[in-house]
Amino acid sequence: MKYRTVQALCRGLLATCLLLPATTFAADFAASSFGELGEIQRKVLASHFLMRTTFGPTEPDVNALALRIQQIGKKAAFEEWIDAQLNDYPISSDWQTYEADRGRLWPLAKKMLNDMGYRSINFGKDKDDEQGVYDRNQWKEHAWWHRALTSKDQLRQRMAWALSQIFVVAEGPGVFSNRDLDSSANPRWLGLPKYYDDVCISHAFGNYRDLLDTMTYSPAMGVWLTTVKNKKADPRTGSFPDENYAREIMQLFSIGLVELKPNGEPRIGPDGEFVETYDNETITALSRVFTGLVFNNNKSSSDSFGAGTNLHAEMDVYEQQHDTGQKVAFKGRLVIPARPQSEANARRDISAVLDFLAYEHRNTAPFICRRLIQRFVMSNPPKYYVRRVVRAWDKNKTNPKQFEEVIKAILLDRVALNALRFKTVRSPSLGLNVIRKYPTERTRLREPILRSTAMLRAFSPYPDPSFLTISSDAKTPYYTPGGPEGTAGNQYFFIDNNSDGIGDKFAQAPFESESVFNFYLPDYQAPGAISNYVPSKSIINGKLVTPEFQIISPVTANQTMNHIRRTTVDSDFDIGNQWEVNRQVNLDVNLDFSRFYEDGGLLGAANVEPTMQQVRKFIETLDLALCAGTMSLSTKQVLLDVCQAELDRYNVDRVSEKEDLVQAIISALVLAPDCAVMP
Amino acid sequence: MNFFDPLMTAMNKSVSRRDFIRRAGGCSALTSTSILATLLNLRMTGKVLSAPTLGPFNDYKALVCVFLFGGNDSYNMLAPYDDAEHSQYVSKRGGLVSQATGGVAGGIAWPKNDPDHPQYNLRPIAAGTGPNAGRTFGLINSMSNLHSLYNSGRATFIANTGTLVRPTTRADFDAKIDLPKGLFSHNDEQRNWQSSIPQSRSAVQGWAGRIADLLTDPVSPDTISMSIALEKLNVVQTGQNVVPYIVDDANGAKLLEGYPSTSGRYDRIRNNALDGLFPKDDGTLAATYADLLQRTHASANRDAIEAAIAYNAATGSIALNTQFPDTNIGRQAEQVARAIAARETLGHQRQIFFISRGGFDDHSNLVDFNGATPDGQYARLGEVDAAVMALQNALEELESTPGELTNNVVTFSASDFSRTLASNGSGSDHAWGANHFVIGGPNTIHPSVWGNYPTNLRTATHPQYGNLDTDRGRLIPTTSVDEYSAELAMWFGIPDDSNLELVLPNIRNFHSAGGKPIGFLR
Repeated sequence: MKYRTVQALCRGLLATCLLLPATTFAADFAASSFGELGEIQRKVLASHFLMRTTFGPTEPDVNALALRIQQIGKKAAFEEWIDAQLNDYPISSDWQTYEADRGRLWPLAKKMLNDMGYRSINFGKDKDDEQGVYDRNQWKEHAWWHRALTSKDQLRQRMAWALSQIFVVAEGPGVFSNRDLDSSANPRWLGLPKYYDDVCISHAFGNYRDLLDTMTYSPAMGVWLTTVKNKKADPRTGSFPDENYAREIMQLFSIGLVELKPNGEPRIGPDGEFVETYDNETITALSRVFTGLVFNNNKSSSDSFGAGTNLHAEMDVYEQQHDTGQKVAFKGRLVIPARPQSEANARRDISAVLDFLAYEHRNTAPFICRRLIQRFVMSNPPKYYVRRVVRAWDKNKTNPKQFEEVIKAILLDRVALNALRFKTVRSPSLGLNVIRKYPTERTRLREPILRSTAMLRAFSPYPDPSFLTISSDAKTPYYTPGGPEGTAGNQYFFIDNNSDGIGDKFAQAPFESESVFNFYLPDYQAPGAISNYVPSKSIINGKLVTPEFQIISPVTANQTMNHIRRTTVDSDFDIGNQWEVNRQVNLDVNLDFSRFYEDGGLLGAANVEPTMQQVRKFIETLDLALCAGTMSLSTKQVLLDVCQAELDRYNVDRVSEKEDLVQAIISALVLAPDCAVMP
Repeated sequence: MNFFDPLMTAMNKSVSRRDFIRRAGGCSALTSTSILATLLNLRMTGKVLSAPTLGPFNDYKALVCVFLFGGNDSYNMLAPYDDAEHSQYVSKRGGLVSQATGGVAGGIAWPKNDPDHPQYNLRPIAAGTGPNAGRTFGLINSMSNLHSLYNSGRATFIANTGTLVRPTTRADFDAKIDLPKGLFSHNDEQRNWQSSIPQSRSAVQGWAGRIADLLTDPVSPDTISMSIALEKLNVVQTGQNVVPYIVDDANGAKLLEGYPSTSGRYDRIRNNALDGLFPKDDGTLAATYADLLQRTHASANRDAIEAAIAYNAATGSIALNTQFPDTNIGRQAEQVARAIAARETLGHQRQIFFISRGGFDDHSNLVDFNGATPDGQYARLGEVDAAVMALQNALEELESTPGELTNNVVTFSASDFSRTLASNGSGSDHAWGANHFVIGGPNTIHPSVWGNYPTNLRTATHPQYGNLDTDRGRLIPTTSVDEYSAELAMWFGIPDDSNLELVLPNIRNFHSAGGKPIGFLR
């Protein structure tokens, strides 16, 4: 018998024996009729699906999807939702066009800059001071959070976030936090959101080969992995081309280190060891291919790095610095002939490598597909799941919408859909139990960033109106009242990675990976119980991996908990006060708790203590909103007992007192394993 | 160069895990960190040893890294002092500082004998044995404690040290052969210094972290890491398995806020809930969470909460009479002293600390005057000087027998880089080779000025190396950070064999096994 079932039985027995139905959960969800029971089940399915596909389910989205599940069935409703995401929110082909409710970060960050300017007026003097750096970096981060919280193209944004964790470019090289204008007359710091847009947003529903092309010629990548101004070998000085990009495009962006079967499993050679995908000759050959790249419209042999810096247009190839000789890679599987010196021929060389990686090498599909599954569904996809997604990848190699099919294959696979089991409880009262079918093997630790966005989106966040305070310069106030709360327009969310913000706390934040290896490694395994577990045969290599655990340390754990406390303690997403020139603003995001005031909610009646019935309902609501209905009965009971004890001992009848209770329970729940680990 | 081959060779042979880690780790430096994780986790974990690779030891030792962020102008910290060399220094630096007798506007050189301003005068440091024997150098006046530590055999200096892939000449520099990535850039050079893998921009682990990996049980690592960082996560202490435990200068460990208070309603409710969700007893925890990811998450949170409380209890209860300066770095040094005093409670036989002072990016106002007292770098180094001295005093106070701690705790300086010798009018710009100090007990320290201090700063030359100037007095280092770190690592207990090569993958470019890389430690 399943552990959860035993537990449920015990609870049920306990409830019956002690006759304390009000203080015990007879089931995960109480229902007054079989009709309601079905409705809850559909909402759980909807919430669970939206956990994977968005930055967090909202109540209206859950209700709408639940209705469609009722009308056309689960899989059809999910597919319809995906299709709507793929088709209903097209983005402009012009990278500079601002779209209020969807799409790219760059135009939004640029608009924020245009609307509000930099923070410190005395920039010229304090160019390198800390505040100056902060000024330059904040807008792109605000833009990312604003999109995550409000965008209608949630699936595109989630896919972009996933891609950005594979094709990593981040802060680091000084040029990315530089406020000087590049030769396109845009501030250099906008080069990072430009990369995010070009590579991740634009290709979210696109094609892998196209993405490789954009990435390879992207000036941000050129800076990040030092292909820009990469020169051919100079026998006079003994210098050789830079091998950085040559190595990483193989190791991290396409084929990985060891030969894989189409199901993601490493091949074992005759000697019983892994088979390496490339040797040093291949690195050397590829490093010669990626020579001659220069900033756009900057074909010159000049050594001065700064000259002509352009982070907003793709790199050019300066044929005189491109190695024109024959290159032999992958033990002769890829031979690029010597060609006469010309820009077109240099591009031909590069295309030959990208074609090989995208079309010829069999590792690419399982390598990238497994990483994508980890970002959306589970850390340890069974081999047959990887195999099926790889099949979709392979069938669509030349389809310009290849990733649309891959995303569908990931999200609609029967392994993905078969995560939950429902059990009707009839005694002592009608209810529904939600059971995680495959604990340990088919779950994932949610990224801290995604838990954070989900918590915010669950409570219809809106920017704090106190942005209206004192505006002594001519710029637009941060928050323009009048529009519906939580929508775009001039109402930006001001959440950033610095200050009292996210990056320091979670060790994860947009644009802030420490290196090209992302926040965590796809094969990281947490020490302890997980490393001793012997999984079923379908698990690759017979060992569980848990990437997201890599960023949990005794320090980040407390920081994360403290961050959630500050976030919830005033029912706002408090990231502290920021001083600006002549004004102080609260960088807060308010959470809307109105659902707990309505329909007999526990915050509803003034000066009345909540009933345990209301508390139970409240916990059920949180379960659906934050845990996709998969909170365990024991966790539910912990929360219920804590509330009961509080109500027994103290007066909790004023609204502020009841809000304390609501906020404290939300805070604890966001940290609970039930919320952190998702099936 | 063939960075990748060793790993591939390793993969094609049947190798012991230990050997594998060494090779892959050595490579991780050069290629990637994920090699190690990918391969180890995929195939080798079954053979994981349940004990650290090195240790336990029969003694206690600690390293304290003092990082001067921004690039300390170390040729003004340790300047030439002999008459001819001093005048070449003055000439290269655009004259004496303007407030000095005979100073000029834009001059950034300190005097050695200004009768009107004794507080500006360099303090003489007579080099002992070693490559600079017979020469005298001048320590910046504000570091009076360091000066007396040197004179009592408890401090030493290493000259013109910097990040290198291999020994590098001016011709190599011109040909751009094997240069560190991102020379003269803060981020890059801070990372290069700390990773000791300057040929890679992707290195996210540092040499002290790799030491900690060797000394830590991979299966059940310490809850409080042997690597303790003040305020800042850093590359140098980050290893594959071990990451630094970060504490605050004023408050120690980062506690869970509002815990375990029961006074405020919010915190009371939340704390009760967290206690229920993260059971203190392992048996209850295991029974509550059948899903191992959930269980691991719950225990990680519980342990983090308890570790911070335990750390603060252990370090906070230490009786300490030594007065630490009330500066950021002074308070950081006090936290170090407290963690050293609490070493047994924390279960640490080896500790590595990281403290820092920022603000050394002196493009302007390198020598700043605020009334009679110089501000700028002078005052900042004075702060550092007072903090490291207080730490030495505390070690003396805490030791039960003379030398028990002072001989077993070595404090060493680090920085992004040094700065251009040429003045830019009021300061200096990003450069490379730098001078550093090391402090410890008389049985540990071999006092002298080690490394090859250029004999003529005006021409930036050294007889053995020729022209060291890339331009404007950006000096090519004559000693590598690898040698510097290797000597510290060997003292700390890392054998000069494959273990040292794992910690410092480039070390054999500079130092063959046997003997001391530099000689500054006894």
